[in-house]
Amino acid sequence: MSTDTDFGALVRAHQSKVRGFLRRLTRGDAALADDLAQETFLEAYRKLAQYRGEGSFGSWLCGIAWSRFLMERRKRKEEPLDELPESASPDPAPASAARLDLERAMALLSAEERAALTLCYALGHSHGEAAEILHLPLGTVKSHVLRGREKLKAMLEAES
Amino acid sequence: MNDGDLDALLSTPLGDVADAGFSKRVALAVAQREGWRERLTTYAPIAATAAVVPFLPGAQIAEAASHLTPLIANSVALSIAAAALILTISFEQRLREWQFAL
Repeated sequence: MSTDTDFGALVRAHQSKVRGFLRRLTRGDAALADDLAQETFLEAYRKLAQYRGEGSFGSWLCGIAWSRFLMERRKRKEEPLDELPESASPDPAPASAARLDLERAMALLSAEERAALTLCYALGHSHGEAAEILHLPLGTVKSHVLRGREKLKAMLEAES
Repeated sequence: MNDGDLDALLSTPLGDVADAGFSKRVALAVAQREGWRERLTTYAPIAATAAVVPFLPGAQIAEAASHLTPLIANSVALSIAAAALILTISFEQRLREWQFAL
């Protein structure tokens, strides 16, 4: 089997995780998230030889997705991604009202906090893995998780 | 909301995002970029050669070629190698087109 067909299988296997992660980062902007996801996979295809198998392929893709998101944020100086209007929900099928509340509150966090919380909780990565994916020191990731979690708790308690 | 509830809520996996043609769009974009790369790698050497040709010593090359041509034309091994090269390149191109069509 060639690299192309193998890569097609990898895209199918990881598209949901990458697009879901990017939808969280872009606060539910599905179109922008999909554009960034496509760029992520194109970059991954170009750099496939550089993947050394350290960590999962999904983590490597999330690292590229995060870089793409940061590049897009830098490009949009006039309309930063953090100020984009909040969409209804980045989750295509929010299970409950609590989940919707979480997504709304999550949208008010900084991108770094959203990314750290999503990686460490929803995607099940360790703090160390999240630090590698986000190219941040471990302590910084831990403080993003801690601070983001505290903010979420306060917002959700205020809502209820 | 207590810590346990918040942790449970945060730990809920992200919902599945339906593919809805996304993988095919990526495959198409990869094929397009590869097409550009292939064209570049094919035509750049041709352009470079064309740029160099006017500066080559034509008369000397023609004389050398006149000596070599009969040798090359009569070489069975060289003919087989050329045929094998052409077949390999066309087979690889067909295979790539077929894989992207899947």
